[in-house]
Amino acid sequence: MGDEAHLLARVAAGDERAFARLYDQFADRVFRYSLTLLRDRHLAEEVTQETMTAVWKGAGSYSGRSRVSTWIFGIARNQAHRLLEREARARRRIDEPLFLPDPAEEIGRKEAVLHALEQLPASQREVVFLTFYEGLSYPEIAEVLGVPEGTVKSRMFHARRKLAEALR
Amino acid sequence: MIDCEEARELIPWYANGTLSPPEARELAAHLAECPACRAELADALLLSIEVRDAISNLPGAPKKVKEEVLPQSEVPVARLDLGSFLLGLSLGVSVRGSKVPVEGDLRLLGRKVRLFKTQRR
Repeated sequence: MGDEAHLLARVAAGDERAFARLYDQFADRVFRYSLTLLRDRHLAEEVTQETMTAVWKGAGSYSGRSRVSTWIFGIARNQAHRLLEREARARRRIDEPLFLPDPAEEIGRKEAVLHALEQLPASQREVVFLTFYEGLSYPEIAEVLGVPEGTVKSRMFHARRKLAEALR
Repeated sequence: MIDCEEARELIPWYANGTLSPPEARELAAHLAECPACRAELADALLLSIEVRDAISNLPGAPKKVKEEVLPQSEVPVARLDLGSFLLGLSLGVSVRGSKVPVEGDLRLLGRKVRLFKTQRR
């Protein structure tokens, strides 16, 4: 059993200190994933809160079949889509620029990369995030997204083409 | 042997080190023969570094989320008891994260009855 799976087993047994450690390992990553996907800080905060609460309450339902990160990002994605549907029902548009550069700083390479990511469709953006930031394999990403592996590969293929063009 | 199209689909996950050993072997064999795909791999490696760098710069989860999510044990800080074991009142103040719940109990013939409990920030 991996370290994270061991930690999650302790969380399932109600160990609050284990949950605090798991929280510290995942909260920022879940927040950044939600932010990348939703482009809204308040919604990303809500997704993180809901996801980590679901992890605390539902740790016992983790089957051990996938990596802990795959399981947690799957929960986060469901929460994010639930909020997106809620926002759509309320007819609220999400058009907050996600990547706000610090006005005191010159626009550098990092900001250019974030800006290029922002231009991608959300479905491609999350594949790039999960591959390069989270280090997930394409079968794991297919599991998180609930799509065939071929779809993950083709989203990545198109994303890379667009990013290469934007960052040339 | 895989062709360039298949190789290019797999390259991002070769770059992040998550291909299965048979896939990685096949891709490596193709790369050894194909300079164009080697250049693709170099691009993917650079992109992976840049994306990681850029996303690491995004803010993390705000502290208040942790306070909301973490189950926090209550630590008693003050307690006032009036009356006796058979009939009395007690007032307790504790700390739970950033909240300071206050509770009042009535004791009646040794039994405790909760009168109120507040949750104050």
